[in-house]
Amino acid sequence: MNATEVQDSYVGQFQDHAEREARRPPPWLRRDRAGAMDRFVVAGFPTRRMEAWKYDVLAPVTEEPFILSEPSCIGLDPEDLDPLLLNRGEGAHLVFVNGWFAPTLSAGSALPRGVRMGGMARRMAADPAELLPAFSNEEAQPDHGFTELNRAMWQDGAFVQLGPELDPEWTVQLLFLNSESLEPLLIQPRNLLMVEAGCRARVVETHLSLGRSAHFTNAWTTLLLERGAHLDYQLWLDGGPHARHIGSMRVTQAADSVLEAGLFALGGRLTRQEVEVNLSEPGAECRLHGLLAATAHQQVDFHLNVRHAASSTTSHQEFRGLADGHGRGIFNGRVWVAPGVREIVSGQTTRNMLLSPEAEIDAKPQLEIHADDVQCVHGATVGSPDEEALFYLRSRGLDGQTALALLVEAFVGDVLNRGEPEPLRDWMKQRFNAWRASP
Amino acid sequence: MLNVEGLHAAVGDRPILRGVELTLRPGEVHALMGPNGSGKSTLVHVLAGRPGYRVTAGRATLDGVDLLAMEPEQRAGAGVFLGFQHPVEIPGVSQQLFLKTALNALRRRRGEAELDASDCRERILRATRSIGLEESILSRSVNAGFSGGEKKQNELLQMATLTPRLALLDEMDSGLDIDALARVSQGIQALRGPDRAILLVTHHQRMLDWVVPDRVHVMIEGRIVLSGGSDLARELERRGYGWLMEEAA
Ligand SMILES: Nc1ncnc2c1ncn2[C@@H]1O[C@H](COP(=O)(O)OP(=O)(O)OP(=O)(O)O)[C@@H](O)[C@H]1O
Ligand SMILES: [Mg+2]
Repeated sequence: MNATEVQDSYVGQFQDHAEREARRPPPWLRRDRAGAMDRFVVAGFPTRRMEAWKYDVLAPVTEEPFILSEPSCIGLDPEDLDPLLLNRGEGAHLVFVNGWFAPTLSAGSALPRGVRMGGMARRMAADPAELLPAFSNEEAQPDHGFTELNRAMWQDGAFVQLGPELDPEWTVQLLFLNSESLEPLLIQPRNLLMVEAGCRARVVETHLSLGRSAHFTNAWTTLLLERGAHLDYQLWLDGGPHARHIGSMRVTQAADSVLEAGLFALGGRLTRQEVEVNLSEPGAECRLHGLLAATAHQQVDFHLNVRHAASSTTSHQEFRGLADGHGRGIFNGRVWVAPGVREIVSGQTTRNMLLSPEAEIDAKPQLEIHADDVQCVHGATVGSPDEEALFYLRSRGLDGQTALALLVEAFVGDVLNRGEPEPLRDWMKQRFNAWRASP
Repeated sequence: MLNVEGLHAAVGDRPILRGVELTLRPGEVHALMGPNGSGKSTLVHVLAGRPGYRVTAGRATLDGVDLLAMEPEQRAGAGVFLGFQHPVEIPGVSQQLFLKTALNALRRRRGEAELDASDCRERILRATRSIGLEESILSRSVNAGFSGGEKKQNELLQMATLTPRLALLDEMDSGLDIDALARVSQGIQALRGPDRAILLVTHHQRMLDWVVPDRVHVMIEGRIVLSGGSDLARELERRGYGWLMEEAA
């Protein structure tokens, strides 16, 4: 199929979806969906002629049709999830199977006061008016075909609201689990996370797979940090070698809020994660770090866009890229500073390691600074493992593979070892090692 | 123990070693001296198997086994240890993990059972103390941010942990202050043993006051042009290399 035929198939599925939608959606949502579909029809999928998409080979998601996923029963027991769960202490996890909230698999210690969470579809059915402001937020409107597609046909997702009295150790895990199925599915979570004024919270979002199916997750996440909120957020994309994942995340940070975010993507046939952070009031600060890793014919793309819209805002980015085999990595780190704002601090470092001659990483800082009072430090490197270090290790008896593994571990350690708490770090290292060991 | 015969090696098309002859017997310490650029580091690198050098002629055997046919890690397994003139910094790899991994890798290669974590730690601690290093050095990253003296001592720590049969020590005395020089020299002297041979590459007599060599060799333009007893080093300190270079020419 070509992209136009795939697009037509989504138009057809949209009509079916609208007819079938069980709980009657509020009129504003129906209009919202229809408008998005119209724009999707006009805009189509992004193409490589667009600057922001010029490195992406989108064929894995634009030249095969995916079937909108249905709620499914996959016969899992809660115990089966144990290896995929991070919470050993206080906290809760929401599980989504092929994008649909699975209440029977979700659990947690009693929800603390001021915490509300669950599936987005239910929330929409229960109280659509409450969601209207977040859904119509101007700053969080879609800007390309994939986000329009999500807006037109999102089905479920995570709704999380965290209140000010939360114990900062209390961790929420959002576990998106894709199952084996005959057809490749289109999975479209629409997530909303709100951290209320003064709240300190920790959220871990993991995308994992139970099988080797080539599903397409097209996710859209809105994250709102109110005044003085402090969110530690980790995103772990690890859906297996065939997974297709396009994620768009829009963050809006109010005054004096802090976002500490780890973004990790281990392969996938095509993985692209966009993160736009709007530092919209003074004192807002975001610290982003992460790892993109691709091997075989995998493709991983991070597109970051940090917008300093207010004075006295701070951003830091520390990223690592690792490519082996024919793997391809793309890192685009945009920092935009609004005209006339003052006291801006911004730093960006990306270091990339190529483990094979066919591997490729395009790392591009993109600084658009329209103000004077800006401290901005940035650096991007792409290189091979240090030959001197490899020889040094081998001269002590380590075989080439072990020596390389040590260097790679040290390289990714800079970002993998930042996660809190320790069980999360251990879990991440374990998943990373499993990914490295997989063929 | 170590036999080097007619060894020629090149980098690209450029010959650097031009027929090195050298024999070390168990228990012996030999010093290798010679002007800058004469090929001393190249010789020890070629013996340790560093990539980038092409052996064009000659042989090098350890206890009769062909070293040149082996990978660097196999040579380490056979008992070769290279003390680097410029130890490599490896941020993010902890010394403790590095030493433990190396120790067990060598034990496997030698057909010995691997040591468990506490035995490993015990050995590494013992070696650390014997070199006079603080234990805290073990929790740091390999050579990262080490002072010049610490780097050289750290090479000795690895040697003391890995107990090689043949140690090729490249300028362990360069860049050290007087006290560090004494510590490092004493460390080497303490690692002398009846079953071990040591080749000390050095520019100065100072270290040889502590570690008195059995033989001293002078390399010029990729060849050993003169060998003698420990007195030779003192003579070189007095006379320099000029007279030898004229003779070699
Ligand atoms: N990898 C290399 N590439 C190019 N040239 C090299 C390489 N290694 C060594 N050489 C050259 O070979 C010659 C011998 O170098 P080597 O380092 O062995 O000398 P050295 O005797 O150890 O000198 P020094 O006393 O200064 O340490 C030098 O001219 C050096 O530039
Ligand atoms: Mg040298």
